[in-house]
Amino acid sequence: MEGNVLLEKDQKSESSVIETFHYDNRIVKLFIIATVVFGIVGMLVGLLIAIQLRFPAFNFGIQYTTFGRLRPLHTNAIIFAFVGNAMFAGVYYSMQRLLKTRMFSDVLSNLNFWGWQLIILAAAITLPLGFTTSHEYAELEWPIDIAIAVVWVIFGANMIGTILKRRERHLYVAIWFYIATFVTVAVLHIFNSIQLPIGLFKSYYVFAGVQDALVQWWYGHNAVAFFLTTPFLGLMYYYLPKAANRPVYSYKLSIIHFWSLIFIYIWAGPHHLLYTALPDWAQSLGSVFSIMLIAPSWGGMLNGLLTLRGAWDRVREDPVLKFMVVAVSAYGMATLEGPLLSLKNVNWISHYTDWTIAHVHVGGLGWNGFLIFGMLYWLVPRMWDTKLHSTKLANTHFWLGTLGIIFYALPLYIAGFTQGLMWKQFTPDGYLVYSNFLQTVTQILPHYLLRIIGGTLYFIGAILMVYNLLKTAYSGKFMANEEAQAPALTKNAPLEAGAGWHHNILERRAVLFTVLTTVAIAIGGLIEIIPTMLIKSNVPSIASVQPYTPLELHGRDLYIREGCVNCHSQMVRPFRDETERYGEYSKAGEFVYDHPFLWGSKRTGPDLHREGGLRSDSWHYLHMLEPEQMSPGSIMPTYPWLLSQSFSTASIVPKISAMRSLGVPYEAGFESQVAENVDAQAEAIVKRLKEEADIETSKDKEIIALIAYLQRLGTDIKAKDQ
Amino acid sequence: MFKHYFERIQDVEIYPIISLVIFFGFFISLLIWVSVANKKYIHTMKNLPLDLDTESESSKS
Repeated sequence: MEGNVLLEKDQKSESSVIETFHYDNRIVKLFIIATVVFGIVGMLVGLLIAIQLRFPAFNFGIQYTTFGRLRPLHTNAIIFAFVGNAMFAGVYYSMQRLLKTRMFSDVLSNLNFWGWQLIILAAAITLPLGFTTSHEYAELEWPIDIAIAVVWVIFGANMIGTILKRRERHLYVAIWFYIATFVTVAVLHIFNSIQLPIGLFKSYYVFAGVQDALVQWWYGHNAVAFFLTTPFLGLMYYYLPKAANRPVYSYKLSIIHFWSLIFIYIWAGPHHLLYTALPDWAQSLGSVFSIMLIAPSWGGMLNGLLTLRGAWDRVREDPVLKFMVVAVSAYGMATLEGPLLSLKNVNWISHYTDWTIAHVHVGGLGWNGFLIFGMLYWLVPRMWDTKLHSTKLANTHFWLGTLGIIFYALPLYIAGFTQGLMWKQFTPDGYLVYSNFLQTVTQILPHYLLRIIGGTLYFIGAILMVYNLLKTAYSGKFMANEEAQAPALTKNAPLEAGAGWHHNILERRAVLFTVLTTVAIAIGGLIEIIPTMLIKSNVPSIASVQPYTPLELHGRDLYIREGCVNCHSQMVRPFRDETERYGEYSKAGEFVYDHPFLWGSKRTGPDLHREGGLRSDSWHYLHMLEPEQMSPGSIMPTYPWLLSQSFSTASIVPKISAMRSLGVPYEAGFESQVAENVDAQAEAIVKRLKEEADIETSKDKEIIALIAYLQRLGTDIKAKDQ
Repeated sequence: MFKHYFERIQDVEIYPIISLVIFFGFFISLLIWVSVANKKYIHTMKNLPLDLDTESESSKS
């Protein structure tokens, strides 16, 4: 389209040239379609796993549909497919208009779109198949990680190219947020994906234990910050003023909002690891910066809400504004709650419970979801040059969605608080009141039922939106290329010197801005991560901690494959109730060979770090076959395939070599002893199963490796005690 | 592998102090800059998304 640029001489000023160009709406349309489709899919998977938590039969007894494998599918679908595509749609639409130019390259736009959809497809296939790295929100295996990096760079190149060829001298604050998003997500993704591949779909993280945990939560926290928050703040600063038809309340506040947010956010990651084996100084740093985050977050929220001052009457009538007001309010609530959850005394109760799940869904359903809905209801009528099919239906969607959020979040807050306190309740004699973990699960099952109702309401609302948007689109005519005019940016430059000089300055500023943003986010990350890697005293070594045997190592990989970490933590915190319930609290030195760490972030089931030696092999065997037989009322899925599927010893050999190259001290030449070692350990388990419960099985079954791993867990320092 | 390089960093303890100084300095300058910023510039920036309108708002949603 740029080739058809029409140059006209402005009669008033000899040097100003009005150019006619076309905005690319087609790419926005593609991203909108993907947003809606994957939004529905992601919500549907979310609904299914919510049902599974109340009615475990809905795991269907099939390995590809268990909670452990579908939960990452849900989070990835919502974060990267639904929110990700919406982000691209919103950015591609607003950026062209804010910079008064078409996107830098249609080819890059298309590569961005199709590349991203291929990644989503790959995720949808590999996650149910059990190919996972186990790092939350970074579960995809290394080939997909590389594809994500490539597509992300394409997006960034397209964005920076567009900035450089812009016709608007100034970069509006929304663009700043987009730039920060691009830079930070690139840094986070690459750093958190440093893996050693041992096959096409299997790899080990280079970092282990405490260090791996710190890197992961530096990533995990900032994925929320820079994928779910900063791009959406950029969208808020564009779409809210557009929808309200009035400028943002305070542009000065938005400048402070931006710089303080990106400076502070990056430091807060360790608040996901309070009371764990992470060094204390890092935990405190995380808490302090989380509290500081309230200021910029609330500054941003108030800036958004105050933009509507004097226009609140329109909020009553306009569904777009309704969605946006609730979205911004949900942002405010979630960003107040987040820092509060980062206080150690609150985290003491909330961590590992459904409180966290409620918190993220206020953010996900409220902030991201509602801002997306508001944006779509605003965009589609404009891009199809028509009116919204039904305002009434959009209002119905709004109320269903709002009720959905309330029905989702409130029961889970109560569930989290209830369970957190039940775990800690002692009798006057000093015994745990609820010594059986399951008692604290059955107590909150009614809340899980209410959550399903909340999720269903929200989902029905989204379906109404799909219908409404489709009817809107069909009633209008899509403008693939929207004509616009703007003076060329070079209008004031001396003709002789050409556009070069002026452009140079501007380009340098945009590049300088990107560099400054990178510095801002790098400082926090480096100061937290480098000392943890560097100072040996941060991870005191424990002499009795030994590498896993080959069979245990394979069992650990099965544990990762089945996504056990989604429901079971491996981190006994130093509380009286936890040491009473699980045993000795976890030490940093116990995880030095854990590539990756498997501390987990949610206890739908009990902690497993001291599981080794607690129960018999046959208990584990029968429990995996039919959890309810061993623990009546359990909501754990059945795992019959572990009893029938076999593994090959040969597949374990490369794992030993890989681990050694990562620093695990397996003796040189140990690979030749793997078969013998596996055989001996597996035979012993098979024999015990026969003796204990007359179970007939063979030593190459997956369950044998898993039992070997479970029985090893946390026993290294138990041995020392004896 | 990274560990090897990190171990050579001398006086790593000074890092937090440096970061505090950078942090503080940056925010003080930011606040000063924002408070004295050109009103016309702020006004232009504020209205930037709205100035672009080639169509009438509020009629379509």
